[in-house]
This record gives sequence, C-alpha cells and structure tokens, in this order.
Amino acid sequence: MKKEMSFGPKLVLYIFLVCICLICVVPIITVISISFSSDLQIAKEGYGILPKGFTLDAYKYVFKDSAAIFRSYGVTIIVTVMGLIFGLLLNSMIAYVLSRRDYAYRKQLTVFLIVPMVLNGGLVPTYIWMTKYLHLKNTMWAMLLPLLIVPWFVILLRTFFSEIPSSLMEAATVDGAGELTIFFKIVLPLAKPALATVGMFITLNYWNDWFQPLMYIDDRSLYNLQYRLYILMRDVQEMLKNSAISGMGMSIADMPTESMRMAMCVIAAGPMLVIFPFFQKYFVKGLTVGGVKG
Amino acid sequence: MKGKKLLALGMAALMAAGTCTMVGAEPVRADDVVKIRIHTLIPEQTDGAAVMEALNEYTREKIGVEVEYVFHGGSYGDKIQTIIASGEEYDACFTSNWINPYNTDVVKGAFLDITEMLDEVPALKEVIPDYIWQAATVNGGIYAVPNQQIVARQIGALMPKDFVEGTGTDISTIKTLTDMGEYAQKVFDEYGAKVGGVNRTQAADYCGYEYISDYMAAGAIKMDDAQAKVVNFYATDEWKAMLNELAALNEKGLLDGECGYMDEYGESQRVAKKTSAFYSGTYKPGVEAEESARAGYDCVMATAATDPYISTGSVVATMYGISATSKHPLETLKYFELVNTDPYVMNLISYGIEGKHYNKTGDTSIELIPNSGYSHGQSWAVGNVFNSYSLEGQPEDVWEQTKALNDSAKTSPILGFSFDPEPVKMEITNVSKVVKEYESLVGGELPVEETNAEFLEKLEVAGVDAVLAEMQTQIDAFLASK
Amino acid sequence: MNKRISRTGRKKNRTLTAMAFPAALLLFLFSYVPIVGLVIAFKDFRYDKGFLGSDWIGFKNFEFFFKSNDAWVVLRNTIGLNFLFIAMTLLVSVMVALIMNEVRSRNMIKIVQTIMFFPYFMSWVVVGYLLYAYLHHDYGILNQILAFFGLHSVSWYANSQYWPFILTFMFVWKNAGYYSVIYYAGIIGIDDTYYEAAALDGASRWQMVWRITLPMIKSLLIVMTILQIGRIMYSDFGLFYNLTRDQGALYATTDVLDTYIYRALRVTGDIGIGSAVGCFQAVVGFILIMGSNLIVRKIDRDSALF
Repeated sequence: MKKEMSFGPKLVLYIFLVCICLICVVPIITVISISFSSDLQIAKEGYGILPKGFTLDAYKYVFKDSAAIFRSYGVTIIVTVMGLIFGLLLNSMIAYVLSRRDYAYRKQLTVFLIVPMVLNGGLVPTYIWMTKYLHLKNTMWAMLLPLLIVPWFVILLRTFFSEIPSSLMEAATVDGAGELTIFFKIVLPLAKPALATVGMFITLNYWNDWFQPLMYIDDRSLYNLQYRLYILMRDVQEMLKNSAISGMGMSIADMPTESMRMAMCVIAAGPMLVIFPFFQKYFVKGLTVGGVKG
Repeated sequence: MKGKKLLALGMAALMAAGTCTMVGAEPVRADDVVKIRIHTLIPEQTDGAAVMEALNEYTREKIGVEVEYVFHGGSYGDKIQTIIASGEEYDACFTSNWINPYNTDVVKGAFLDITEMLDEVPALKEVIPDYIWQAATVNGGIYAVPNQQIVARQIGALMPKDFVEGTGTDISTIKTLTDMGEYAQKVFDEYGAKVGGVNRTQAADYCGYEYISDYMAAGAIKMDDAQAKVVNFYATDEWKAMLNELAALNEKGLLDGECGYMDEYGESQRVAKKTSAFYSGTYKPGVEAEESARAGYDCVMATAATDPYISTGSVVATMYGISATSKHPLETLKYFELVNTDPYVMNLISYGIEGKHYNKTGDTSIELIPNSGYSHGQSWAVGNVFNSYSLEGQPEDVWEQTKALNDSAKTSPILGFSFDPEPVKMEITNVSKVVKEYESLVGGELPVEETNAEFLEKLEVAGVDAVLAEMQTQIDAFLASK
Repeated sequence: MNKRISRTGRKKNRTLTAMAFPAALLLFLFSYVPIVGLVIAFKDFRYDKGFLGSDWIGFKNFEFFFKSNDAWVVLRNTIGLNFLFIAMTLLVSVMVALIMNEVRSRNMIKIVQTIMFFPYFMSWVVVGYLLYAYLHHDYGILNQILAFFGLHSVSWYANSQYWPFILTFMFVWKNAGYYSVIYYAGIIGIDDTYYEAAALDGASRWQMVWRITLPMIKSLLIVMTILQIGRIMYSDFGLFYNLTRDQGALYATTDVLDTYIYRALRVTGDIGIGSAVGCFQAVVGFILIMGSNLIVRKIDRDSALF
C-alpha cells in the first residue's frame, strides 16, 4: 500500500495545485463572461470577470446563419471522428512496429518519421501538390488526410509501447500468435492510457484545425467549424474597416466584435471540454483496486 | 516563355475579335460563351448565388461571358499569393498596394501587360481618367484595371459632434494639433476624453509629404516638390514639429498616444467616445455620414492644413490585375469594361437585386434592406464607384462631389512611379524594423530630441541612405523617361 | 534451430512492414513529396517562370538573412526563448504530473487536469487580447494592482526587458497542462509492486519519487525533450505575433526567426527567402536531434530516440 503523505507537505501540494488551477481558470471565466457582455460597455469599462451588461448579442450574431454553423459542426464532427478512428489505428500500428526492437528496419523507419518533423516543403509546394496533382481541393479529404499521420504522436506511442515487457509478446509468439494478434490482443489493451492520451490529442488536432480549410476549401458547405468562425470574425473586421456601410444602420453596436471574439472561443472550445472527460477515464488513475494488497 | 506565348495568343484573339464588328450585335451561341474566373476579397454572401445568376444572365447576353467570382473575404491576403504562385489558371484578381501587392506581383510576372489590349476596349479606356491609368503603370506597362473611387486624399480628424458643439468649437479653425489645444482641454475637462494624436501610417499626410512605398521605408518627397527630391521623412523638420506638438499635448495630459501606434486600440477608443479627435483616415464627400453610422454617434471631420492630394498609392488602392495565366484576357477586359461603364452591373454586384436586397428611394439613391442576405459594403472593390447608387445618409450628388474633388486635387509629381525594392531589399527590411521599433514616438511620451536622434542613428546603421539613394535613382529615371 | 528463427524472423519482418505501410505511405504522400519544392530556396522565384523555369541563384536567398544586421539578435532570441520554454515547461509539467500522482481522489485529478487544459483550448488571438487587458498601460489590471501598492505603473508594451519572462510564463501556462497529461499517463503505467517493495524497505515518498517514478519515465522525458530540441529553430508564430501585438519596441527580445521572415516577406514578397530560412531551420533541427540523440545514447542506450 502506498504510504500516506504527512499533512504538511500535502497541504503545500494542494495549495500549489489550487494556485495553478486559478491561473488557468480565471482567463477562461473572463472569456465566457466577455462573451455575454455588451460591447459598448466593454469599450467604456474594459474587461472584467463578471459580464457587463449581460446580453446574448454576440451569440445571436454568430448563430445568425445557423444553418451554416450547424453544417460546419457536421463537417468538423465527421472529419474528426474519421480522423480519430483511422489516425489512432494507423499511428499506433506504425508505433508498434517501431517499438519492436527486433524489427530489421527500425532505425530507418525512425529516421523516416523524424525528418518531416523538422523539414517542411513550404506552403506553396504543398499547395501545388495538393491541388494540381492530388486534386484534393474542395474535398473533405483535404482536411482529413494531411493530418492523419503525426510523427510526434507516433514517437509518443512508440515510447509507451516500449514499456510493455517483451516477455509477454514472446510468450504469445510461442503460442503461435502472429504480429497482428499480438498488436490487437496484447499491446493495445495494455496501452490504454497512451491511446486515450493520443486519442485526445488527435481529436483536438482535427477539431482546432482551420488552416486546411483556409487553403483548400472554397466551397461554403464544406467549411469546418473553426474556419467558419475565423471567417466570420475576419469578415466582421473587414466590414468595420470599410466605410461604405452607411444607410444600413449598422454600427459597432450591431456587430459586437469584442464579445463575438470570445463567444467564438466558447463555441469552438466548448464541445472539446465536454469530450475531454470521456478520454480522461482512461488516463486518470486514483486509488485503484490493484494498489491495495494486504 | 509563358508570358510571351500568352501575349501572342492575346494578339491572335485581338485580331480575330477585330474581324467581328460589334460583340452583342449578333446573337451569341451557347458554345461561344467564355467562362472567366475572378478572385476577390469581397466576403461571400448568403444570397450570393442568386445575384451571380442574374449577373451571368446579363453578361452572357451582352458580351458572351460568364463570370465566376471566388469570394475569399477576410482570408484573401493569406491565400492569394499561394494561389498565384501555384500557377493556377484564373483570369483576374484583386490587387492593390495594401494587399496582394501590385508592384511585387508585376515584377514577379504574375500579371499580363494590357496596354495594347486596352485599344480594344475603348469605353474602358475612356471612362478611367488618364492620370489614373498613369498611376497604374509599372515600368511602362499597365497590368491592372483600376476601380474608380475617391483618390484625392486629405487627412482629417474625426470628432464626436456633441463634443464639438458642447465646447463651442468652430471646426473650420482646426487645422493642426496645435489648433486643437483649446478644444482638447475643454473636452478633457468636460467629458474626460483625450486626443488620439496622429496615426503613424499617415504621419506624412499630416506633414505635407508623400511616402515612397509606405511609412516603414522612411523615404518621402515633399508634396509640392516637382523635382521629387527624396528625403528621410523622419529627419524632416515637419516630422519633429509634429512630434513636439504631440509631446506638448501629452504633457498637459491630453494625449492618448497609444492610438497612434496600436491599431485596434485607436478604433475601439473612438467608438467608446474616449478620444475627442484622431488624425487618421481621409476626407471625402459623405464621410461624416458614413463614419457616424459606423461609430453609432454623430461625427464631424476637421480637415488638416494639407491640401487634397493624389498619389500613386491612393490610385492603386483598388484594382483588378489580369493574370498571366488567363486564357481569355480580352474577354476579361471586356467584362471589366462592362462593370466600369454599365451601372446595372455595378449596382447588381455591389448591392444585389432590387426589391430583394434594396429599395430605390430616388433615381440613383437606395436604401438597403436589413438582413437581406446580400450586403458586403465593398463597392470600392467591385468597379466604378461613380456609377453606383448613393446610400442613405450620402448626398444624392455625392459622386459628382467626389469626382470634383478628385479632379481638383493636386497630383503627385511622381504619379505612376512605383518603387522596386529588390536592389535594396536587405536595407529596406532593416529600415522597416527600425521604424517599427520607434513607432511609439507618436505616443508623445518619449523625449523628442534624444529619441529621434537615436532613431536617426539606428536608421543610418540599418542602411537608410542606400534606400534613399536607390529611390532617388529610380525616380530620376522615371521622370526622365516621361 | 537457426533456420527456423531466421524464417520466422523474415515473416515477422514482412508482417511488421505491412503494418507500417499504410501510415508510411500517407506520410510520404503528404509530408515528403512537397519537400521537393524546397528547391525554390535556391532560386529567384518568378510567378510566370514557376518552379522549373525560375533562375538558379545558389545561396543568395540564404545570404539575405545571414547578412542582415539582426541575424545574431534574432537567432539568439529564437534559441534562447525556445530553450527557456522547453526547460520551464518540462519542470512545471513534471511537477504537476508528480503531484497528481500523489492525489488520491480520482475526481480531484480529473478536475485539475481539465482545468489545466483550458489554456490549451484558447487560441493565441484570444489570449493576446486578454493579455492586453492585463498589461495595458492605463486600464490594465496589472498596473492597477501596482498602483494599489503604491508602485509606479509600467509601460509593458514599450519595454523589451520584461518580455522573455512574460512570454515564457505564457508558454508554460498554455502548454504545461498538455505535457503534464503525457507525463502523468507515463507515471500511472508504473507497476505498483515497485512502490510496495520500496515501502516495505521504509522509503519515504520523496525517495520513491526520486528513485522510482522519475527513472521509470526517463525515456519518455528524454524523447519528448529531444523532439522539442529538434524544433528549436521554429517558433509558435501565434504566440509571438499576438502577445506582443507586433510592437516594434519589443523586437530586441521578442523578434524570432519566424516573425522576422514573416515581415521580410511582406516587404519583398520573395517566397524563395522563406524557403531558404525553412531549409536552415530544418538542417539545424536535424543536427540538433542527431547530436542530442548521440549524447543520450552514450549515457543510456535504451532511452535514445534511435
């Protein structure tokens, strides 16, 4: 049984944690409260922790074209789910191969994975390759495929897989199991924390991406959530910059920029925070059964 | 080379076109219709499809062309260079000196020289004044079609109307920051608002100079200098005098200097009515109504001591470059001819469909229908603004007034000159960096004499002399060739 | 006996290769092929001549950066700041991971983790605005606090000396939660029997951390660090551009390679220069990864990347 910590040090640790949590929580509360504040009051009084002049204007404005927003939610969800399933599968397969010390091409494969982490062809060549040769412009594949294999995640997974005792795998081989069986029946179940962690990261990676749609999607119906919000924000900024809006009765009051910016942050990040606990189940360990003995 | 081949193709098309008499006189067959693609920074509109439909119906009949606008909106700047670099086949794209830089594009071969082809579209050539074509010339060639709008620039300070009236100030007497002194004091005492100062990107406008390139390149000429002698703007007496004016205001606690070098801050302060005046933007007929609508409260503008002035920069602020990869450059020009001469097309793209997106309130005035699904407010990015309807709040003859202002303004002695930074690109990058480091000088906080001396020293180390020399060389060559 | 092993050996290798193939193919398609485009680092790229037609100019694009007055300052900032970021993030995230391991309640851990992850969800654009609210010269919250204690308010955005600390703090704030999740996942994989045996031997918690926990996640820590070192020439553009609001007064300590090139590109519009710098960043990164990997191999062969 793990020895209990004495009270003194424990208090220090808890205080430390509380401080860290405060530093992380206060900004997000500020963001949420600004999103519910009136822009005019913000302009006059600045930001605050509590909403100033509580209003739903920012959200109303963002959801004005609600059909479009929901469609982009749909696009993002499809791409993210596909990305998660295939990404986790493929990345962990190649990570498994890398983790096998007796694999003949281990060194070469590792180098093959590392090079893209430091070397990048550049925006223009990538764009030309994707649009002119692969013909992926205006397709969901453009948002899915380039982000599917992430060397960083592969190396991370490989490191976790390496911790699994090779005796287990040898035993399985003696029993006549092939590599695939070992992978699915032994390695994956044992690496649940790693898979959950990387799974979460993969999901985040897809969910937050706005760069792929920026470069490769012109078709409005294929915009994903982050990009749609990004465009909304930039179009509003452009419209405010241009002085041909007279006669529309449109003023800053009608286009709540500050609060809108924050509302978008909430709309974009919100779903992820809801998803987070599902992954957490697998990589949080408290006082579990295995620890108690005698 | 690709460029030459296309030019040859263009010439061939020209000759072929020349054999037909007037396009539109004969009925156009379906397979004759040419499809062209235009990249633009106008944001996509919910009801865009309907408007484009109507547009294409009209253009198909009139000139046998179908247009596909690619509306990039706010992400235009990020994407367009990549699109051009990828060699994509398209026909025209929005270009200017502040986005998708016209000069750089021309020098790197992105656009087609249309000088010769312009003879085939005489209406287009006519409707745009010569001095505007001149401004769009680079190295002797014309590579884009300018959109006409206000080009005469005169810097002014926007002020809240009630502040002006509340303090009993006569706007016509306010021409400089010093003139503002009394007003600034009264406004601060009564309303707690400060003066925003001068936007550093327009400091030259205030001082009576014209930037060569932009505020970061440090080179400028005096507005009325026919010899166009290039000087280091930041070494001029006028610049120092302006800094002293700002510092004086700051000392009295009347200046909110950050407005001058932190962009969004200046705007948000203005909206919150925390600034009483700020030299930024330009004067044009109807500007007060527009700005009032934008800010949500009535504004008036006090123009500065400098006269209205037309520089290359103000003209090339909105243009459509004809792509070197275009397979139909002549048809594209014909399309732009239509946009710039036919009010129906101009207003269709700018405001949408009558009855659906706007209602007419007079012969040439309209009121927009809120939430109609089509309103981008960027008619200056479409074509000839003088053909468009006037909006609520703008005087009916707003375009006449604007044209009059344009025609009466002083034109720059180097109109049509554009600086090619290539020979001194290293020095310019260094100089720009130094200028950015010292932008906060317009904040009025730093001691003027010492800081400016430091600034000038650093500029020298950065190579500003080489930049100025190169600018002068290029300008002299330009003037000699005229 | 030997023959049998080598036959199963070959079969095993074939299966493994097949398993790795799909991912490798995708990686090749989307990351390797465009590398060919780096050739424009050596060319004077013109739109009408394209990739193949543009003139070859050797290393001239590289000269642009290296001959500039600021090359030294910019490189110093890039490497120095990244080094600070890596070190401080490592410190904080490992500490947090260790602390979470001491906490008994599962719910408590979940809550802390979630909260620590919040900053990662916020884009630098949004964070930039929040920071502005804190550091603003007149209305900023920080200056108001200083005034409360009778101290002078500081013009944060005009003085470059504070910014290495501000930026490091912000980087750790955003990323510590992310890394602590990784390290925590590693820690909970450690078999409890080690701890039990140590407890029987009378070890204190502190000793357990120092002698069991840390050594057991050594590989993880080392690998993560080496990978980050490999990217030391690259900077999080969002961070640098949005937090400093591109204020020139701060360039002395905050201008890094990526922001320098971004501005240069706006002046010259020359893609070749951007590519040249990208090549440079990649070469240095590669050398650093190889180098640090070699060092690690000397010390502890198993922990190395390869």
